[in-house]
Amino acid sequence: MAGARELLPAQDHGSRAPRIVLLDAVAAGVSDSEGLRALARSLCEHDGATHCSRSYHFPFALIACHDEAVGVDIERVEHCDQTFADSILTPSERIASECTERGFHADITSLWSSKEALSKALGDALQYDPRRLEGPGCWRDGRSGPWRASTLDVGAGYVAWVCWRAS
Amino acid sequence: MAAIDVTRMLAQSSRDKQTLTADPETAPTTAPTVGPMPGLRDSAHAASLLDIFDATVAANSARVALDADDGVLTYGELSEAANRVARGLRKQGVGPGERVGVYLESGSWRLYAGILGVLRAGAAYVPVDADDPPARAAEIFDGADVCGVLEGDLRLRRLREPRGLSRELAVDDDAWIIFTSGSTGRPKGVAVTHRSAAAFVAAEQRLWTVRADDRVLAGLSVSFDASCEEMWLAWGTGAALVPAPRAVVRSGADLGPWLVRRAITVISTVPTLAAMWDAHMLANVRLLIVGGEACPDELGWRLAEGREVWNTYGPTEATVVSTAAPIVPGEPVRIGWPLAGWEVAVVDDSGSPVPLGESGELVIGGVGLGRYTDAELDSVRYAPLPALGWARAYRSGDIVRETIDGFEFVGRRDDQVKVAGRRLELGEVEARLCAVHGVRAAAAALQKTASGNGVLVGYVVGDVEAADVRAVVAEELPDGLAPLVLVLDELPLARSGKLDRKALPWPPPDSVGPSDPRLRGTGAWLAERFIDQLGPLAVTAETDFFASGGSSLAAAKLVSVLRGRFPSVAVADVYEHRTLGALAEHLDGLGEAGAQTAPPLSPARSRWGAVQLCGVLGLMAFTAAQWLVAVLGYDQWEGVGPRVGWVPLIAGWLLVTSAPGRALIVVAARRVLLRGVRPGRYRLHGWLACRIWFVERLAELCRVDGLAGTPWAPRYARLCGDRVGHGARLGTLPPVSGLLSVGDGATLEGQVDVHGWWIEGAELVLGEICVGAGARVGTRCLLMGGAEIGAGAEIEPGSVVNGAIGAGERWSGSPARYVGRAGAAWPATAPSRSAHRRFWKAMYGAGLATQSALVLASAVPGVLVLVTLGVNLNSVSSIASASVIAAPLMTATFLISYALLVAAILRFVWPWLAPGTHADDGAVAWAFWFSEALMESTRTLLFPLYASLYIRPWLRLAGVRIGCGTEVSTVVGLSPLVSVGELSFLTDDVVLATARARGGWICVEPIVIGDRTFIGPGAILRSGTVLGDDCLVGVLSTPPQHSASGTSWLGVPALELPRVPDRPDPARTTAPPRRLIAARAAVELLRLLLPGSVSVILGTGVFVALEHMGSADGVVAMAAAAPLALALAGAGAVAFTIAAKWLIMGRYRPLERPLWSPFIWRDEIINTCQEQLARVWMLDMALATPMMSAYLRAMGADVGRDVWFETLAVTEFDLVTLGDGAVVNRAACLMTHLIHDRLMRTGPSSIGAGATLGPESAVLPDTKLHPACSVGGRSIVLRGEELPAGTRWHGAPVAALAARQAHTPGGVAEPVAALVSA
Repeated sequence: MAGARELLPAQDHGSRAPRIVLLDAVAAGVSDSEGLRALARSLCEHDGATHCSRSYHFPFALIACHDEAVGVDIERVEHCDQTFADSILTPSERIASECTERGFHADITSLWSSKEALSKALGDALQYDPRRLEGPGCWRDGRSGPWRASTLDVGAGYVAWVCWRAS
Repeated sequence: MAAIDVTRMLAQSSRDKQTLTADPETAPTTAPTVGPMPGLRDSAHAASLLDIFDATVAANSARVALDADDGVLTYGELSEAANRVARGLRKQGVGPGERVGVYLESGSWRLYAGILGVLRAGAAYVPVDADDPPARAAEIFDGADVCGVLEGDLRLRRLREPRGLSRELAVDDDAWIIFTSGSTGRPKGVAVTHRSAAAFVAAEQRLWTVRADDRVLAGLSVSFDASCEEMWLAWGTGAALVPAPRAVVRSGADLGPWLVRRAITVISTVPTLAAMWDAHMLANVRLLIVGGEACPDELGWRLAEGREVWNTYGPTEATVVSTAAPIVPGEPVRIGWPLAGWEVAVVDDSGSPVPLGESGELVIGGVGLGRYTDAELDSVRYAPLPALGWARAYRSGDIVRETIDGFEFVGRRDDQVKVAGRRLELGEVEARLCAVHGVRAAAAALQKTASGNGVLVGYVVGDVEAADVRAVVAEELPDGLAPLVLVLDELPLARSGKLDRKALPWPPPDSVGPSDPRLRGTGAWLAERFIDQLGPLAVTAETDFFASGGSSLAAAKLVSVLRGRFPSVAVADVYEHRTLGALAEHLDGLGEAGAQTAPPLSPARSRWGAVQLCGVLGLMAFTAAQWLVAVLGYDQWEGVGPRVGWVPLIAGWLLVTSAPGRALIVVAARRVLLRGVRPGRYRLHGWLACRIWFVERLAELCRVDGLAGTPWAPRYARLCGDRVGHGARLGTLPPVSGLLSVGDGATLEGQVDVHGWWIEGAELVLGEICVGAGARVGTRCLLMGGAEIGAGAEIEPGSVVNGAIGAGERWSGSPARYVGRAGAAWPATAPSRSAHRRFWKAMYGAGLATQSALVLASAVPGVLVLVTLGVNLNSVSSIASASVIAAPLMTATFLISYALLVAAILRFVWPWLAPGTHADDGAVAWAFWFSEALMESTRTLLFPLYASLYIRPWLRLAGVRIGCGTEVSTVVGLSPLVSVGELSFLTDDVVLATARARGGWICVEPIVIGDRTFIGPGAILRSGTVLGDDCLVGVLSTPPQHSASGTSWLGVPALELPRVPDRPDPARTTAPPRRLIAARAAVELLRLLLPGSVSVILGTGVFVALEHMGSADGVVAMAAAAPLALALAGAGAVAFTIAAKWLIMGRYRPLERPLWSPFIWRDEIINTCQEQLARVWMLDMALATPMMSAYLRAMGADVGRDVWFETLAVTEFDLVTLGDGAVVNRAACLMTHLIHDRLMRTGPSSIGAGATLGPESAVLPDTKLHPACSVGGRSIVLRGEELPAGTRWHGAPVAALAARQAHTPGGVAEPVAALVSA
């Protein structure tokens, strides 16, 4: 359908990956976020998978459907300062993220997005304090136990992550 | 509704009104009112524009027709010029039916000559403003299909072959085709016939009067049909048309003088432009016609002062104007009645007329209807209206309402917007903005924030402050719809002069502060933080963060900023308190950082410390009494030294050494010292605190806990004065405070913390605990003072309760939350009584006796060793010297004997632990109690065996299935019901609760632990838990019943927290080489024997000293010297421990070492010395006294003054910092090391001045508790966390508590909400 684009995880984990779709409100002819949400929900219902995760940043919506737990998140790269980084990173991530200024905003936004995707996949996202969650951004090979994670290419200025439980 | 044609009637009356009220100075003085056009008196004879023009020329040929900058033409000259143009066009084949583009310089006489020339030629003219870009011109000319374009100096640029018909002009030929832009952006061409145009001119003349001596401003772009109105206002009456330069029209300052200089008396314009003009600019203007946009009341009234003003309405598609009404000051500005020949109707969505007074869409019919050049579009937009029988009807898209005084404009259908879920007319907002004093012009628009949500913005022009305007408007509009107000210098205009909505600036040039004056304090500050995240926004107390466009990332950023002032806030708080008002209130409740400071050190502390030391001596005296009995017993037996006789000896033994005796001592102490204790908050340095401390220590020394779980526990409790109901099961003994009441049939499982008191800051908090009838409290729960557990309720293991639990409810977690109904996993009926219950009851006594006997029996081989060595047991000195030499051997024999004996007994007893549900008065329950009691004693007596290489073989010997390579530390609950895989790691104080008890039942399920799984200190595995391989259970956590392989769990209840395992060198963690194994075995042998040997030596020393004293100076001297001897021995034990630490370890530093490292083995030696020497000989009595602080300092910790330290769970001393007045409650743990992934990492931990660590809580490495912060019971402060000063925390892992939420004893604190802030 117009405005919907299928995405593949950047990292191949061999196991069955979730089905991921990126919706573009402009191309799909939807004028506001309400309509975008309705469209995303209908896509999920149409897919019929047992687990579904949605994330929005107007005009984009990101949807992932999977037979096991899955979480997805899309964010636009925003300005991040050190205070914010300190308030969402675990001690080990804080050490790992001391990188150059050039990539800082994208890195922090990406770390945040990876934690959002993971906490959504884990279930009740609000129970998780990002400062206590080792986000997939620092996982080795994008895996941790039964969990898999990968970035998604959604275009310039945006970062997106998908996280799922491998069966 | 039939077309109403009362225009003439009303116009007549209004004109009369105007005449009557008109200012005499502007009243007509010269020529009489010019009536309807000559030649058009009879509207039945439709005419063309040319007819009108000819009539005017005929009557006014000498008058000025056109007063342009580049030429003044009279009517005669203008007509002649037009004729010339027409002739030229006709020569080229242009004629009626043809279209000619006009692209001539605006303001020039040529433009008007050209237009009239095209009309004269019989063609329709298609005007494009010369200032418009050529591309637009081309688009329009192409769309209109013109044959050529008049440009330059009236030359025709041919585009195609003209198709002009050579016939006379008919009234139904097109007069003009004017393009109007629609919402889609592509311009549409509207063709208007002569019939319509002429009818328009005639109809307008009936409304107002333009005289031949008037001068009409031509200020509007010729691309727009309103310019036609301007032209024919003049040319229809003989007045002069005065074109103005575009810049002059738009400017404010220049226009006034220009109008005066050119003597303009009639203007037709749009309200936006008119709004910019001051009254003095319009001083000579006597007739003002506004149209094209809605005219606000105030603007209309302002303009109507001193002149005749008409408000007109009409789309281009119905020939310029369709309805008109005079503006009367004080009356609302209306669009009035239709022009003569026009028909209007108000219909609803289905096309049916609406009743009078209701609003609906305006539909136009009649002579004024134009035609779209696009036939398809035309058929749609000019579709018939069956309800009224109109063959063609134009749907205007405007919402109007008919009233008795005329039609009123409500708004554009498209201008109805939805803001914050409410429908709103932009027109209404604009009207209200205009009504504000000082506002000259206003526009409203719905703008979008960066995240795509709508925000209502009002733009005003005038000498006003945005905040003031907003305040006024906010009063009138529905709550929450007050717009964000921006003050502009001028409103952006389109080519037509109308407001260009799309050009309204967004986002605004500079940031706007919160403008809701009702927000104060925290709310106002928070509003600014909202705007930082959400963009410029009208923020009120009802603003919903997420509905206003906030994303989860924005919420996280908001929280990171809020934390600077309110350190305890979490992202979940924003989700829970979505509106600004609610969140501000929540923040105020949380309390700001540093609100509480550390309490000053009490002046009473030194005196109190002295009292405590006396208490320690008193406890020593008690232990000394036990020693006395033993020594005197030896004397009596061997016939040496003072002999006191068997009777006193047995009496003494019964009193201080036997179990009943010890129990009675505790009963006496409680009844005497703690009589009448009431709940409340007391000074830490007070007499009550001292008494409680003393009795607690005494109870521990007397080891009354041995009675827990036996059928006599309730009797003992009642003896102490506790209220224990009938049939209650006490796996835990009631607290010394006596403030526990247990209902009938209630069950307290083992190791429940019911002390009911804790130290917080500088206060002793003491509370009452009620356990209702039939309730069940799981193992390792913490019931804080004030806990009230309802009848039949169930508290899962490891939970923390500090409030009321309703009857029949099941709660779990730290802090406890409601999770369901109680009794779901239990049989519904009470069990039938076991067949041999009396036998098994007696067996409890046998069990207690066996435990003591085992210890003695294990000592026998040691004595045999002495005998073998040829020691004379009669001679104390020979015993002494032999013991010193043979101490390691004696220790070894003791350990081996005890281990073997216990293993043998367990082998015999454990098979009775059958899975299933049983009555608790039979074999299964007894077997559980007895085996657990034995294992408990091994954790003391065989302590060095745990966490060594030797534990696994011994456990296998006893019958527990442990895989190869698995490390086992002091685990509670090991039995054949537990199977552990390979290479796993069970750390200190892990609880494997294979059994649970309630209502007379005991339910037993096995526990399975997989390979390479790590279980952190204090974790609790409930019955039936199956852990997969490669799992991790964090400190104090309770994992779920089933967890898949590779998962990690933390918390109570445990949340899954995926983590990246470290993969250190397997040679140092999982597959060590032989030499490392051998080295470890050797070091651990040392660890097994060294502290024990020192104990033996110390014991021997005490024994010898007492014996000498007795022999030399008699019993009394011996009794007096005994406490001192013990104190010396204790000091010696402590000194040895301190020396061992510094010699073996030196200073602890933050580091990382794999499991198979000498560092860890050395660490274990020091830990064993502390447990088996320092604790046993001294520290058990000195807990929470200044002696503890001295000990800690001696071991390398940085300890301030007046620290309450009631635990020994500290290992890396140099990494510990305790501030003045810091409090570490019982069973708390300063875990300065982590050992998951078989890699030990150490890091510092700091407890600030006056900070409190609650009972059973743990702080992990790299943590810092700032002064005066408080951590509740059974909580975990995770690695790297810093808790700000003055804040309060609880939970596993810790979550913030509101500043005012106190653990109030006696009162009922509210159970914490289900959604715990992470």
